[in-house]
Amino acid sequence: MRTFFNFFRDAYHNIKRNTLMSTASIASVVAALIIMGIILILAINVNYVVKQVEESLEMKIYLSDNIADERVSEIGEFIKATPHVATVEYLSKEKALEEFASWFGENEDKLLQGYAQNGNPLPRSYVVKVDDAAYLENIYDTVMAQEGVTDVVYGKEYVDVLLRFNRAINMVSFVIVVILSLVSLFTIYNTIKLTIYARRDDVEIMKYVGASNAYIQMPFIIEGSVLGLIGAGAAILLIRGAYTMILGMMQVNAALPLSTTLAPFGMVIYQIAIYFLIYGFVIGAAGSLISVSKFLRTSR
Amino acid sequence: MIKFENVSKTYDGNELFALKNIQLHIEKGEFVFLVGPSGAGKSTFLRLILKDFDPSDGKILLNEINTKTLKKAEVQRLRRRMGVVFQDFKLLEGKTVFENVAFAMEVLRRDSKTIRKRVLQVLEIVGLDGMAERYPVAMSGGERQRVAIARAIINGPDILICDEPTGNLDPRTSFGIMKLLENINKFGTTIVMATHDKQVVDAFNKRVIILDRGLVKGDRQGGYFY
Repeated sequence: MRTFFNFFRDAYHNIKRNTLMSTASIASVVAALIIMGIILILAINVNYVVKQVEESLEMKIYLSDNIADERVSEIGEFIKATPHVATVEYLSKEKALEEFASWFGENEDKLLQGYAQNGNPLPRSYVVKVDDAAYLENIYDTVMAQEGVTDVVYGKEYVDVLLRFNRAINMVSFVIVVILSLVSLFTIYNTIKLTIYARRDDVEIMKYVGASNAYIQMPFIIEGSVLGLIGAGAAILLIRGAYTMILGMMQVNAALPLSTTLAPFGMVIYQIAIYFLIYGFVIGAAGSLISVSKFLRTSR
Repeated sequence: MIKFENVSKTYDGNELFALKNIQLHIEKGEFVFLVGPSGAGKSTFLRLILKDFDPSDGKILLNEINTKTLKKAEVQRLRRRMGVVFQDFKLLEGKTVFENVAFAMEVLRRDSKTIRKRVLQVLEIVGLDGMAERYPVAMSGGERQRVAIARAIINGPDILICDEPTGNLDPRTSFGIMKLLENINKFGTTIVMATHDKQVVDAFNKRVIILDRGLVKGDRQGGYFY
């Protein structure tokens, strides 16, 4: 317990002693995280929009007029059993006509009358909602292959664009995050290298009295993690400020259609805070572990 | 206790031998001077015993164990049985004398009561009683070297490695340090000491190994020569 406390005390002293490099490390983590934060917020919002769209996306499965009622319910059961189908709703010919007519407002009655006389041309159909838009195409293929299904309709182009956009955002953010992570890792690596250099006598003595590697590494790893966590904390505060500001601006311009689809603040900041803290800790610990391990390897 | 069998050492990217075909044996309880001009291979010799690195050729046996075969944890255990004293003391300036010496025991996670008792004991042995709370910066060279020796012997080593321990000290102070080392040796610790100090070597009648350009040029009892 005492030694563990000593590790933290040493880390604190080192950060203070190495003000310039420590500040540089923290700044690099903050910079990386802010850019990551912007991307993350964008990604969270795009995902949020995608989710909203997915929830409202409908697939219409039209059935042939020439099949028996049993076959209709068979198809219904089949659709229900298909993976990623969330809800299935049956639309009879009459209901379809009503819905169709409702689009025409006050002329509704006349229209219904006309069809009642000449026979209802609208087919029976199932309206399906899915839990993940990425599976729409699969579902389309399986359902389309069923006998008695004449057509399946969904906003294919719209869904494709949305999915492609989502994938592109994820990919670009991934690449940028990797690059920024390497930059942060490298900065922390160098900071710890300087710390080790300043304390090389301590390290050498520890080594010669037979201290375990873990014992030698611990204070440096704690120092790196603390730097990472401080950087993460600062970035969280900055991002929080910026997001609140943007949300405020959007509320003022309430006419903007975007404001309706911006993810709620609580959800965003909570996710980001957790990501950032884990990220800061891992980058800090990894950077110093690499640095101190390399030092121990080359000096023994 | 320490056996060099046909030991050669070259450093990476250098074809010159730091040590070449060294064959010798240091018995338990011996006090050995390692002399020779700069670049003769003295430091390489000491660092091989400490297993800072392995020989390029041949083997080093410590208590009949080939150091090359030791795993990391075994090297750490081996080093706990050795003490090291440097020419530049390598004291931690921000720590008191007590903390500097205690450090070597804290690293081995001894409890603080044992540490306190043992440190005060050892400070008395090296002639620094009453100086536990002083800082190295306020001490003379001789006193600093005594702190370093206290740190080196606190864990009761079998072997004490000394790299020019009197190199920064005046003759009178050097003599005091040598007396101290001699006493430590009398209690059974094997001492291997690299030195340039003719006066010291001449004054203490010990085994002298002479190194020159990586070769053993002489190995005999008493007196400085090369």
